[in-house]
Amino acid sequence: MAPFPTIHISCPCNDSISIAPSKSSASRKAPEHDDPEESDMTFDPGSARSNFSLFPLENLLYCEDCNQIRCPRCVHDEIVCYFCPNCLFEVPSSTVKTEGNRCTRNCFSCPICFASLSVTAADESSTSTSPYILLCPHCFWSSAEIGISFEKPTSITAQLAAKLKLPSLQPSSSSASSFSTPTESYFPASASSTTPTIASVETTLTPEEMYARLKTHYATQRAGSGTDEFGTSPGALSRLMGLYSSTLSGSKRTFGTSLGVGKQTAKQKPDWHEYEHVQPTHDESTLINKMRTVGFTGTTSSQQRIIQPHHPLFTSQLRPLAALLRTKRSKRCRACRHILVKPESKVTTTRFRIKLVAMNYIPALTISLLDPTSVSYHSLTPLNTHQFLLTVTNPLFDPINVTLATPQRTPGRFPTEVTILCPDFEVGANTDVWDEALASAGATSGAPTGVQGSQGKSRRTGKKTGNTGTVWDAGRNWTTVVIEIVPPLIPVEGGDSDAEGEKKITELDRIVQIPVCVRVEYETELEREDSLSALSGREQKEKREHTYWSVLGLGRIGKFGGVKSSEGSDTLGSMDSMPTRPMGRPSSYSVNKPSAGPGLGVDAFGASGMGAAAAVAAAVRGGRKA
Amino acid sequence: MPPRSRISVEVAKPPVDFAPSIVVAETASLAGTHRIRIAANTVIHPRAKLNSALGPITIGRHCIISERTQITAPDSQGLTIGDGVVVEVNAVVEAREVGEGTAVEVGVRIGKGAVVGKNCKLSPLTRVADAEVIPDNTVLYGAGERRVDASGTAGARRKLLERHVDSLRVLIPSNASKWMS
Repeated sequence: MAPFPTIHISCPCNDSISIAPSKSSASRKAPEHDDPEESDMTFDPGSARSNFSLFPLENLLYCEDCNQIRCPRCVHDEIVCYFCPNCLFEVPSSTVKTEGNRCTRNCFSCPICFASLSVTAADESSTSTSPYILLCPHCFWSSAEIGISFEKPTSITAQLAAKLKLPSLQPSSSSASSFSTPTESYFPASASSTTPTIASVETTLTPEEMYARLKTHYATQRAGSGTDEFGTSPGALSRLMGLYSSTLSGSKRTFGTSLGVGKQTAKQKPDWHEYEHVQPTHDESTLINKMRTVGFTGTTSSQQRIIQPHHPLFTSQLRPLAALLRTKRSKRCRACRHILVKPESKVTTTRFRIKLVAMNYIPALTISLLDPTSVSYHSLTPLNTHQFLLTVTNPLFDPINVTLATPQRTPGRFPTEVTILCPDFEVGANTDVWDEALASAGATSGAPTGVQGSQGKSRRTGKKTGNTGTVWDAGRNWTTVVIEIVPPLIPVEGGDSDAEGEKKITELDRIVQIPVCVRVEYETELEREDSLSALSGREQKEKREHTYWSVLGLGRIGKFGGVKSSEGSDTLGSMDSMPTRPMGRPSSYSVNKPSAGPGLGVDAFGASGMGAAAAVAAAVRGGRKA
Repeated sequence: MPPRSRISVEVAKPPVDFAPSIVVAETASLAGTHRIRIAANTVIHPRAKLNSALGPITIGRHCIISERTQITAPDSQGLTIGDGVVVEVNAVVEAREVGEGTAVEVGVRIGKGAVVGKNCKLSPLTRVADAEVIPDNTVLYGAGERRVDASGTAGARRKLLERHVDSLRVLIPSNASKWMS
């Protein structure tokens, strides 16, 4: 079960699709609003696309030039370097291209349990001449089990490659005759006879042999033709094309002899067949017999089989796996191409040269239940008011004005009533910790001397009253406000679903997810290269704002029957006793409003929210009486 | 989680049969009524718990019993641990027999009356059921997977273990006389 509460932030890279106007908020839109386009869009966390735009804050980057959040989907990855995670050796990209993406030194992992193997000296008692083996320290698999041991403890890859090379191949690949007549070595029957013999040859060759022959064949082909021939002359091109088709089909044609033949046979090109397809099926009895002898323990598990390139069926055919290389990557903004993340190119250093993570730019949200003992996150009581504490933490060095907006009722089939008691507040700057200590000392002494001190105790109070329009608590660079939610009553499955004739109630309907639009305004010093502002002696201030949607996963709606009516009516009664209930919602706040104090906010938001809450209370009470 | 402080209760000392070259830490806990026999060159770490309430315990040579292990005799037939056995931290051993050269790694639980063969390896957090018989050279690893160790490195491991015991002998102050009296 997903742990609650969760906080995700929506990346706007998908906004043309994901932030679609939902019908519920559009119908309730205030016509006099000055920026209807922005406010009408309520982010729907339940929509299918929003899954792809929601990320935890830790996964997000921030582009300073675009002033925008960047998610893993809207950055470009660029590989800085390749390295082996086992020996931390940096592999040049040219080597990666020629040798493949595996470590070419001594790093191997166990084919049984995938732990990394170590090169150890074999027992003196063992009779083998080569004294070193690869041993898994975890499951004690050793390369001696597949009959491989090494003469020296270094350059294991080269030794292993030499050991695994099939003995039947070695004479043919090394002899000069195979280079002189490449076609005959790869297609022994190509010069004289027809396809049936080719098929028989294919069955006798193992994949390794096929590959080795193909490799030598291509090598000679490349050596035979000059470099200028490639691409320039159409004859060379068609010869190469013919080479591909006849290699796989096994037609009678010979290479490099006559182009006319190639043109004629191009029409009768046979079908492609897959490499795995040539595995013969008639000798399954030998497989079965082998399985009978080695038993269940002698066969590989599916995981062991899939990870090996040759998909062995028996543990005796397993090979040590060379360690896969990893990469260090830098990340670039897709829109402006600026680098967002750039690690140090050295493998062993974990530092970053550039690291623009969103945590340093946008305020972080945390949420928790006001009274964690009263109710569990996994069983919120329907039609009951739950109070949550939402803390906004400011990472910037300037104080910010935060405006929270949320739809009065969350989108979805079973909307949850949401109220943010104080949707407009200030969060202090992320200054030095000592400044705060000094400021608070000044405030307690009685004289509001410092800048922090004058604001500190009077405005950003930490009274924890829970009154509307006031913040719950505030500190150096954080402010906490109260959010109240009333989860809906979800009908019991079975009887009700038939009556409504709708979809069945899914688990998603039971999860309370609240979209919250966070709007941040702050003034910061303008960074300028020209000395104009410096000459004038005045600090240029720039007003900035940033808006993003976040989704708070507050919990799961439990059963209504769990809590009896006495407790329910108690909470509802306390709801009534609240004098005013502001509803922060997009359509009812004005973005250009000059920093509304706590009192102002109540007036602006009050009426509709009060009506809704009272209506719910009345409806519940009416239901009980009936 | 910090270790809970327990009220130390004076427990009846079990009769012991210690070889002179063993290392038993002062704070190891030996309890029970049956005989606890420990052969030469064995190291009992601090806070290892040996309980012979139900039967005798016999530990062979060159064994290492780590801290916070529970070595309990399952019944009156007792528990026999062979030579060169390493019991790692947090392991619970209630077996009838643990064979020579076996490694019991961190957090392993061996059920009551199980018999573990020689040169086995029980990888961390694996379980052996009650009264189960594990054949020689078995490796238990991963999520209950088993295989037969054919690497033939048991001799090398034993040599390494003996050097390990020698180094521990210097590090752990022994107070075997606490139980001898």
